[in-house]
Amino acid sequence: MTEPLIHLKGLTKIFHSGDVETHALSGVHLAIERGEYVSIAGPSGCGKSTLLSILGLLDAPTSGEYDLGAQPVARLTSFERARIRNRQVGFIFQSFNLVGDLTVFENVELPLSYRGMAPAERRAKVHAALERVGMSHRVKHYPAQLSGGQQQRVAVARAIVGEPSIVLADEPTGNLDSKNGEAVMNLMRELNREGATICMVTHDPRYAKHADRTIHMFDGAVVEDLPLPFAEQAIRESGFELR
Amino acid sequence: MNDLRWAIRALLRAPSYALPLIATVALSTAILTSTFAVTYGLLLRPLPYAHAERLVRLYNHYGMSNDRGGSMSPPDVADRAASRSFISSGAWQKSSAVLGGGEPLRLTTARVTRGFFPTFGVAPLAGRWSNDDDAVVLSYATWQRRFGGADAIGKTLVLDGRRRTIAAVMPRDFAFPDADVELWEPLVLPPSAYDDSNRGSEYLEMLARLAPGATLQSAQAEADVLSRRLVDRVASRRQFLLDTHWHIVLAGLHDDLVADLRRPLLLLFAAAALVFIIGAANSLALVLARAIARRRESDVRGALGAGPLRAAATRFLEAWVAIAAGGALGLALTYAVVAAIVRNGATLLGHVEVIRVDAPVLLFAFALLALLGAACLGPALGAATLTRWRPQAVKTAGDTLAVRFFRSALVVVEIALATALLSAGALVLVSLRRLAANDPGFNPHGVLTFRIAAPESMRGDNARLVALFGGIQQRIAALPGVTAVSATTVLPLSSDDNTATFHIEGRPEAPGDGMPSGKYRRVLPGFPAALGIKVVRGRAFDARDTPSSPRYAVIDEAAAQRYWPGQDPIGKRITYSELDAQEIRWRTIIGVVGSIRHGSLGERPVPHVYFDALQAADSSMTYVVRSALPASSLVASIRAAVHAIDPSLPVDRILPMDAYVSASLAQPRFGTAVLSAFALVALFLTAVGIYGLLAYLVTERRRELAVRMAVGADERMVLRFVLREGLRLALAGVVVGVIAALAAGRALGSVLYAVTATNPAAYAAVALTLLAVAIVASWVPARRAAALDPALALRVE
Repeated sequence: MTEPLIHLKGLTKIFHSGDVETHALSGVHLAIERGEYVSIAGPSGCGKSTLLSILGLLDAPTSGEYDLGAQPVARLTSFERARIRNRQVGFIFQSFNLVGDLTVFENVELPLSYRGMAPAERRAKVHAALERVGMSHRVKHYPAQLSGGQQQRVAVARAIVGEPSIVLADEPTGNLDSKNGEAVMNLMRELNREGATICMVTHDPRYAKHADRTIHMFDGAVVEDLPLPFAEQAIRESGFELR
Repeated sequence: MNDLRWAIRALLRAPSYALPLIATVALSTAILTSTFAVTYGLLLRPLPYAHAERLVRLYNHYGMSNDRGGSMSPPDVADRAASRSFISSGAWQKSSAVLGGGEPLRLTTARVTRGFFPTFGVAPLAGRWSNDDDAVVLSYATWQRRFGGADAIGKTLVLDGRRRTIAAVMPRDFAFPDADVELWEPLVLPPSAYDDSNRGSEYLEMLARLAPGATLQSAQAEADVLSRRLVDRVASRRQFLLDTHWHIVLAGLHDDLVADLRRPLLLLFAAAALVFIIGAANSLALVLARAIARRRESDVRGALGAGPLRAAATRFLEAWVAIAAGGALGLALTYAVVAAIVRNGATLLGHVEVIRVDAPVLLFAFALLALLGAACLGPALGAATLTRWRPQAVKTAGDTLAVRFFRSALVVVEIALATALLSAGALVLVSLRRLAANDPGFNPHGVLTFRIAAPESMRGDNARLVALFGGIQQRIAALPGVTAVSATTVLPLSSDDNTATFHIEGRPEAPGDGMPSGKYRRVLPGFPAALGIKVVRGRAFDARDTPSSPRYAVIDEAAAQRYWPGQDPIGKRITYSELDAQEIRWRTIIGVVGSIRHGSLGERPVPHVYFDALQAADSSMTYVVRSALPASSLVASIRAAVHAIDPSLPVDRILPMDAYVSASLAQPRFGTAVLSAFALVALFLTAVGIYGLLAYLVTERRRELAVRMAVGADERMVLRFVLREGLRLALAGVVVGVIAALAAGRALGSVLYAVTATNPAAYAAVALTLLAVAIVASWVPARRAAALDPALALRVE
C-alpha cells in the first residue's frame, strides 16, 4: 500500500484569547491519497478553515502529527514551512486574493519568483498556466479590470503554476455567481482528472458533488468521511438538491 | 457642537494619533514662527526711532577696500552735517570709562555729539538732554543695574576720576550703536580737531536724518559732489584720496544694520519653512491614515443620513483640535525661544531688542495653522467619501492606490526636503570644520589676555605710558608660571583694528597705484614669543629696544611677499609720514614674522606692520600672558601685579586667547548649529513619516502580504519587501532632494568657506544618512509584516 499524500494523526489546534481556550480542531485523523479530490463540509466555526490552514502550512497544529508526502511537517520552522508551501501547496481563496498592484502575469508568476526560478522558465510556466485556465489573453490586465470569475481563474492559475502536490481551495466559489462558480468547479475537476490532488472547503452541497469524497466536520472533529456516492446520499438527506 | 465634542472625545481616546500630530504641529510651528520673529524683527520691523526710514549712515569709503565703509574725521563730520540733505546729524565714538567708587570697573560708553539723540527723535525715559559737558545718559540696563529703577536723574557718578551728572535714562529698546553701551557721554572736541590737517584721523561714526523732500539718492548725489570737492581741499591728501578711490557713501540705517545678517537670516528662514512643510506633510499623512482607518464610521454616519461634510466632521474637527493644541504649544515654545534669543543673541544678531512676539508674529503663526487646518480638510473629506460616496462599481483597488500614491508622494516630498536641508547642514558643517581648522598664525592655547587703559592724566605722555606698560610687563613676567608676556594695541581676532598706508623708501608711487597699506600694531618686546608667532627672518623687538633706540619696524610674511617679492626686506625703510612733511620718520625693518589672521579665521592674511610700543605708546594696551598655569589661577596674581603699580587701574577684558578664536567662529557656529538642528528635526519628522507610511501600508496590505506568504514568501522575503518599499521612497526623495539642493546651492555659496555647494562627499553622506534612516524607520513595520500570521490575515475577511 502506498503512503497517502496527506496523513493527519490526532491533530489538535487550540487558540488562546486571554483566559479563553478555543479548541478549533480536536484530534483530527485524516488521510488524503495522491490524485484525490476531497471536499470538506460543515457548519461555520466547525474548523474547516483552520484545518485547511494547517494543511497548507499557513498555521501549525497545537499537537498531533502531520505528514505531507511522507515528510513530517507539523513542527517545522516558519522558513521551512514557507519553502514547502511554495513548492508543494497551491491555494485558491474565496475572495481571490490577487495582488492589486500586479498584473495577471505577475500574480501568477509570484510563487515562482519566490522559488528563485530563472525568468525564462518562469515565463513559460506562467503562460502555460494561464493558457490552462483560459486567461492567456489577459496577461497585462490588473485584477481590478477583470470579472470575479476571471479573477478566480487567475487565482487557479497561480495555484497550479508551481505544480504543487496539492491544491487547497477555501470556498472558491463563495464570491461568484452560479455560472462562474460552476465554471471554476469544472476547471478544478479537469485539473483533478489530469492528476492534481485537490482539497476544497465548501458550504455549498452543489459544489461538493464535484469531489470524489466528502469529509464532514463538526466542532473541530471529522464526523463523517464518505466516498462520493455515500456523500451524495448524505447531502440529499440533508435536504439539498444535487444538480 | 456635538461634532466638536465627539471630535475632542475621539482625540482623547486616540493618543497614538493625537500626540504625534500635536507634537509635529508644535515643533514645526515653533521653528518657523521663531525664525519668522527673528527675521521679521531684524529685517522688516521699523527701528524704534521716529521715522526711522529717514535715518542714514555716512561712511568714508575707500574703493580699494572691501569694507562697507570707514569712520570719519571731525572735519568730515562737520562737512556732512552742513549738507542741505540733512535736517540733523550726530556722531559718536565707542569708548570706555572707569567707574570709581569701590572696585574700579570699566564701563562701555559711547561719546556722542549734541546732535546724536535729537537725530533719533527718541525721548528719554526719564530726564532730558543736556548740553552740559559733564552730563551723562544711562542705558535702561545700567539704570536698572545700578539704581534698581529708582530715580537717578541729577545723581552723580565718578567716571575716569571726574564727577558726572546723570541727565537722562534711555528707554529699554534704545540700544545704539549697540547693546553693549552702558552710558553715553558728551563728545567734546577742541576747535582744532576740526582743522583740515586732521582729515586723516578717522575715528568717528556718523548718522543723519534726511531733510523733508530729500531722499537717499538725492543725499548721495550731494555727497558725491562734496566728495569731488574734498579731494582737492587738502593738497597733501589729494593723491592718497585718488589712489584709494575715496568717496562718501550713504546707506539707510536699517539696511546698514542688517546688511551682514540679511542673507544668513533669509537662508535660515527658508530652512525653517522646509521644516514646516515636512511637518505639514507628516500631519496630513497622519490625518489621512486616521480617516482611512475610521472610514467605516463615516460610512455609518452617511448611511444614517449625514451629508459628506457631516460624515467627515469628526475627522477634520479632531484634526483641527489637535492643530489648535499643537499651535498653542508651538506658540509657547516660540515665546521661550524668542526670549532666549533676546537674552543671549545680542553679540551675534546685534539689535535683538527689535525681536519680539507681537501682532505680526502671532498673525503669521495663525496663518500657518489656518493653512494647515484647511489642508487637513482634503484627506479627512477624501477618505470619508472614498467608500461612501462613490458607486460600488468603481470602488476598486484604484481607490487604495490613489491614497497610497498620495501618501507616498507626501513622504517623497518630505525626504526630498529633508535631503535639501541636510545637504545645506552638511555643507555648512564642512565649511565650519575647514574654517576652524585654519591656522590663525599664532598659538592661542595657554594664553591669557587682559586690557589696561591708562588714566586720562597719562594720555599723550609717552614717558609715563612707557613706564606704566613696561612696568606691568616686568611685574607679570616675574609671576611664577608665566613663560612669556607682552602687549599689543590690537589683539588678533578682536573687534579692534588699525589700518594705514605707508611709503617705501626709494619706491616711486605711480599715480593711480594703490599705496602700500597694512594693519599696524604697537607691541611691547617679546610679542611673537608671547602669542606664539614664528620669527621668520631677522629679529623681533626685544630687550635691546628702548624708547631711545633708532626707529624700527617688524613686518609679517604677507607684507614681505606683497611689497618685497623676491627680495629681502630686512634693512629696507618705510614711513607713515607724508613725504612732503618737514620731518619724515623712517623706520628700518629689522625682522619678518609669520602672518596672522586678524578679522576672522576665514580671512586671507593681510600685511601687518609692528612698531615698538616703547617708542610710541598708546593709551590702551592688551596684554598676552603665556603660562602653563590655568587661567583662573593667574587672574588674582595679575590683578595684584597691576594694582601694585596703580591700585585705581581696572583690569578688564580678562579672557583666554582661545575665547577670541572661539568668538570669531561664533556666528558661523551659530548658523551651523541652527541649520543642523533644523536638519535633525527634519530628519526625525521624515523618519516618522516613513514609519507612518509603511505602518499604514503594512496594515492596508495585510491580506496581500498574507497571500505572498501563502504562495511561499518566507519572513525574510516579506521583511525585504517592506524594506524595499521604504528604500524605494527614500531613493526617490533623495534624488529629487539632491537635484533641488544643487539648484538652490548658489544661495548657500556666500556663507560657505573652502567648500563648494556641489561638494560630492557632503551629498553622498546625506544620501547614505537618509537611506540608513529610511531602513531604520522601515524596520519596525517590516518586522511587523514579517511576523504576520497569514492564516489569521486570510481568515479575517
